[in-house]
Amino acid sequence: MATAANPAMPSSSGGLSREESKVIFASSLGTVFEWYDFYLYAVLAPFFAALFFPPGNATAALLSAFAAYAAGFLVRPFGALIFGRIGDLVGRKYTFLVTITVMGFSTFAVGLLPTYASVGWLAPILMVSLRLLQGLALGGEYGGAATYVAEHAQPGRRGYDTSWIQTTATLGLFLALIVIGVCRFTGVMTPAQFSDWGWRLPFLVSLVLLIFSIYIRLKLNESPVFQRMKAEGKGSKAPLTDSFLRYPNNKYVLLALLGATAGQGVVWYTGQFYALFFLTITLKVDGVTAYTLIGISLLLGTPFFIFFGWLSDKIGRLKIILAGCLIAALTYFPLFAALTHYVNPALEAFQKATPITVAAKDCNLHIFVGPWSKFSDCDRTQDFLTKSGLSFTATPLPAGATDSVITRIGDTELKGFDAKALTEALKARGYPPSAAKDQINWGMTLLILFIFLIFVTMVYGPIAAFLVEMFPTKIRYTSMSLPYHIGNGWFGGMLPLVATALVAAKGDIYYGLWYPIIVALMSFVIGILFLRDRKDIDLHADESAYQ
Amino acid sequence: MKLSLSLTLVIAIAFTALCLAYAGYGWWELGGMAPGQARDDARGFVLFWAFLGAIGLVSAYVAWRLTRER
Repeated sequence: MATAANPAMPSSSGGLSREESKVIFASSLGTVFEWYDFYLYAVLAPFFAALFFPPGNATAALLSAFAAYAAGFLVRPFGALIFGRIGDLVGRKYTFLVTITVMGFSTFAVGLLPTYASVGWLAPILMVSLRLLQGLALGGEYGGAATYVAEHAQPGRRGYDTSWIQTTATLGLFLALIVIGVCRFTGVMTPAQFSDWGWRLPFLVSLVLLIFSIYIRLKLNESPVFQRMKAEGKGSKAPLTDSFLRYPNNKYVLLALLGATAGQGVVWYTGQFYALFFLTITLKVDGVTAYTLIGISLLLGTPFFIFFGWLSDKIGRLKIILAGCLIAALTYFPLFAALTHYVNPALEAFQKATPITVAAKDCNLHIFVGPWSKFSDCDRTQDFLTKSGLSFTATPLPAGATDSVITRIGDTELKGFDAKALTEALKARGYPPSAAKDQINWGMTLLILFIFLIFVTMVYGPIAAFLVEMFPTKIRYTSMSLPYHIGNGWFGGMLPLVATALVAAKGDIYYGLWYPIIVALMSFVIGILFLRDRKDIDLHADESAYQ
Repeated sequence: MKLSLSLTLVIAIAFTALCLAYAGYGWWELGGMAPGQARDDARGFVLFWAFLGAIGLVSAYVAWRLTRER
């Protein structure tokens, strides 16, 4: 078995030994699952939402599908608490086996669910139940993986070893892209077949990943640091109490969240998901092109997870993470503006040449749409312009105006809401309905997406080692899981919803960036004031060393 | 300090409030819909979001118990 004192482990200057590779590989499979499922659900929700809810309510069904997904996020912290506690009491290995089995099964079972047509409202309730199961298991997974790998790592190599776990998030995305791509775009089935039953295949394929994961994890040994702690009788009898209710551990849990994982979460989601939404929804790039661009940037950026993990062993983790947060916050506005310039220059030119104003009354912000929702002309106009990737200025209605909304596109004035008239007015002024491929500056676009990825790798590459080193062995699993899942699941996961609402409310396609910028700056300030680096700490050390 | 669990509690309460507000608003609006399939479907959505709200409520209760009992 590999231990910190095991001669089978390589020196700090060597590459990965077989034992290290096995430990890292087995530990990382859960993260692959996490992101594979995350991406599958997000991409396939429009397909299965229509089948799990009453027909004819597309928007309400999609919202309900995402709310079910959010419920899964909601219970993640409890999974972190439950499995973290088991991991700190019983051991890392057995907890690991339970979490990946539950997680894999619940992903696979989504592919077997009956539809609304077969069992009515029981169908979405079953779906929610599976999301809850998966959320619980996922909550316990990441903390275990990071703890397990870090406790096997040689001193001076924890950043490098744990950074391999971080690359698997990208691997999960790739896997999902490949499986969905094969099902949708290679002609193995028609679009109608995919909508009808083909969407189930990517979920069912996860069974292969599950069997493989269990096989690999059964071969693992218990963490050497945990074994030593147990042998010395220094384990915590109440990890939850010790983690969250005993000072100063509880202070560090909160600081880890606000000073590190919250910023890391928003930078991660902005660099990969918001960039993808921005390309497809705002800049009107077709799906295949946008996926390809993001895919290439992921491919180019992935080695930097390892690089920044390795670098964090040399210069410290915190300064890399906080530098990533700060640089991202300072450069998001110019980089996203540059993305518009290089991806859809026609849209940028149109927007500069054609000021748009919306003067209206009775404007409401509709985040949650139901079958009963009533939209005013103002709501429809703002929604139309936002979905067209156009910024606009909201002005008050002129005194005595009888229309509920007056839209001015250049010198064309339109009264009331008429989608056809709006489309024609935009067309007459030269509005590009989609990004022309021959106008995309591929090199610069990839460079910008690559820069986003570099920010992601700066904040995400060293984060596992950083969190592991914040807490003593007896409460490590419990303590690091919660800030990770709240930071990523809530601060990061809320990004699309908050950013979309901000854009619609303000009429500015870049306004949604304020959310990640503010959260990243908050993490930078809190991190620099209250957190300190512990890259050289001995993971066997007593609790006093962590205070 | 119980801030970490309190944060979980706040998020659970926010989720619950969101779901129940959605369900409550839908329930209120049902009265303005003509009887028929559309209204039956809308009522189903209301109950589904109330179910999600109940999950949020249970989560909030668990978080609250953890903070209060220890």
